[in-house]
Amino acid sequence: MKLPAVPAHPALEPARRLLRRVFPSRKITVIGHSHSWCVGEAALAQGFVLNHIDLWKSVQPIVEEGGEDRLHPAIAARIEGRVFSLAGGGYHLALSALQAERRFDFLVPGEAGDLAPGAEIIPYDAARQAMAAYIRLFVRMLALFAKAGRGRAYHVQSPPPPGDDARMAADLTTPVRTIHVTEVVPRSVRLKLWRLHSQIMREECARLSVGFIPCPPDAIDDDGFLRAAYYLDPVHVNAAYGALVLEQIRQAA
Amino acid sequence: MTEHPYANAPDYARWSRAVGRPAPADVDPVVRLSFKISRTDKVAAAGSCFAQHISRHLREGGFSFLVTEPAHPILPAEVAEAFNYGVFTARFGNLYTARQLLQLLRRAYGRFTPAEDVWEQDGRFFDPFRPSIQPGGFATAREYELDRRQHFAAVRRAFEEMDYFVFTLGLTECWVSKLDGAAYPVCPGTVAGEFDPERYGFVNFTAEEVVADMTAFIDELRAINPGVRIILTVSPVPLAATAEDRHVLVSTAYSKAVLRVAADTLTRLKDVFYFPSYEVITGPFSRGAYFAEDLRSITEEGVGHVMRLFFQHATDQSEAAAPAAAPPPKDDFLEKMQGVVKTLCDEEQLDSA
Repeated sequence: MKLPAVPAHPALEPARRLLRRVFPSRKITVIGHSHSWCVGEAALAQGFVLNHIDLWKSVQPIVEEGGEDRLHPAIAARIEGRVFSLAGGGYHLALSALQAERRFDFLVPGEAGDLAPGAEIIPYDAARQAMAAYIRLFVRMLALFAKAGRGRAYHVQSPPPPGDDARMAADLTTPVRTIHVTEVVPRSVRLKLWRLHSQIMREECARLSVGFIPCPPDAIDDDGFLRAAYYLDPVHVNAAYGALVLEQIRQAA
Repeated sequence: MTEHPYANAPDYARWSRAVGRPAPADVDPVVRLSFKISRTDKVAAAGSCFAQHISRHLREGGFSFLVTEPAHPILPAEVAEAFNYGVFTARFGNLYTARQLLQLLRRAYGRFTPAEDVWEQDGRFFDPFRPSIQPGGFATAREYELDRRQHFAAVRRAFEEMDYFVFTLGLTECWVSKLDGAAYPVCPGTVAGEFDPERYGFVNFTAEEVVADMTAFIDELRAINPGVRIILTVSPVPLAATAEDRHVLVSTAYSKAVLRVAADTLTRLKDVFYFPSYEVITGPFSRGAYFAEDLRSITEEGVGHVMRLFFQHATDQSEAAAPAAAPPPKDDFLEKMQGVVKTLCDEEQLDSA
C-alpha cells in the first residue's frame, strides 16, 4: 500500500496522524549494513522515520547456542512486521574495488568475453564457492531475520557497482594510503563479482523462501552499472537510490 | 676362523641388530646421504598420493617448499584445498608413473601435444591428465584451456627454479592412448571420460622402461636446470586395483619391486638419490602399525617416522637452531580491502551524523 508522503513539520503532525488512520501503515523493518543507510535517508527526506536496524551500530546479530544460530534478543526485540534485509550487500566490493597485486578474473559460463588483461584465471566454480563462503554469514543472518519478522521477508539486491573507474580511483583516498594501491579492479570484473554475489543471494533467498527484490531498473545503465546519478562513493549509493528502493519496499509491504 | 666380509659388518648391515632388535620408532634405514637441504633451497615435490604427505611436512617443517601455482588469495583455504591448490608444487594432480612425469615436462614445453587432451562430459570439461584437479570438471572449454596454459607456465617455473625435486614413484600399471601413447593417471572412465578399448590400452611398465623414462626426464630437466638434485622415493601404498588378471597383492609386489629396482638403478646417475620411505613404512618391524585399517592408507605415525628421518638425514641440521625459512608473506589483500570498505563505511557514518 502506497503511503502518501507528508513533509516533517510539527504543524503537520495531526495530518500525519490522520493519514496513518486512513492509510494504516504496515509495520516494516529495514535491516542491513551500510547499504541500508540510503533507504533510511530517503525515508527521512520523505518525512518519516523508518524502523531501521543498522548492523554497523548494533550488536552482532547471530548468537550461537548449542551449534545453532539464534538471533540476538536485542535485535529480535526491534524487529516489527515484515523484514526487508540489505545485510552484507556490499561484501563483493571487498573483492572488486581495488586491484590486488595478483590480478584475477574468471569466465562466466554462457557469457562471451575473455579475461581482463594480465589477470590470472580462477575457475568459475572456485570463484563461486569463494563468494558463497564469504557471504555465508549474511545468509545465516537473513535466515534469522526472516524468522523473526511477520509475513514474508525480503532481501534487497545490493546496488550494481559504479562503472566509472576514474571516479572510483579519485574517491579512494585516505583508506587506501596504507595499502598503496590506487588502481581499481577492471569494471568487467567488478560487474561479474556483483552478478555472482547477486545470483548466490537470489538462490539463497529461494531456499529460505525469502523474497528477492532486484535493483531498481532505473538505477542501472545500459552496461549494467550504477547510473552516475546514484553514486555516493566507491562503495555506497546515495539517498536518491534509497528512494527508489523505498518505493520498491512500499510495493512489497 | 678366517676373516670374511660379514665378520666386521656394521650393525646396519645386520638384520637382527638393525631391524629385529630396536624399538620400531628407532629403526633407521638411512645410512648416508650425500646432500643436505638447507632452509633456503627450493624444494619441489610431485608424485603419487604418498608424495602429498612429503609436500605437507616440508611446508610445515619450515622448508622452502616451492609452490609455483598457489591459490589466489581471494580463495578461502577450504576452497583452495578443494580445488587442489598447494598440494604439490603446481596443480599437477597425482603423477603415478615415470611416463606421466616425462610427458608433463614435454607438454609444458610444447614438445608433445596429446591427440586427445580434453574430455567433455555432461557439459563439463575434464583434463584427461588431471581428471580430479577440478571438482566436477571445468565449466567451459575456454576456462579449461586458459587454466591449463596457466598451469603449464607454473610447471615450467617449477622445473626452472627448483633446487631439489622429490618425486615419489607410485605405479607401474598405466593406461595409455593407442593413438599416441599419452599416459593417463587413471583409467579413462573411472573418474572422467569414457572407456573405449579401441582407444586405450593397458601397460605394466618394466624396470627398464621406468629407468628409461626417468633417465629421459632427468636429462631433459637438467637441460633446463643443470644443478637440480633429485630425490626419489617409492610409494608404499598398495595398488587399489590391478588390471592384470592376478591377485592384487601379487601385482602390488611386482609394481613396488620394479619401482624399487628402478630407483636404485637411477641413483647411479649424478645427483640422483634414493630415500627409503618405502622401507620405513613396509618394514616388518612396525608390525603393520604404519598401515591404517584398510591396510592401504598410511598412518600419520608412519608418515611421521619417515619425515623425522628425512629431516634428520636430508636437511642441514646446523640450521636446526636457526629460525625457519621465512614463510612467504601472507597475501592479506582481502583483509586490507575489507578494512578499506569498513573505513569508507565508517567515514560515511561520520559524514551522515
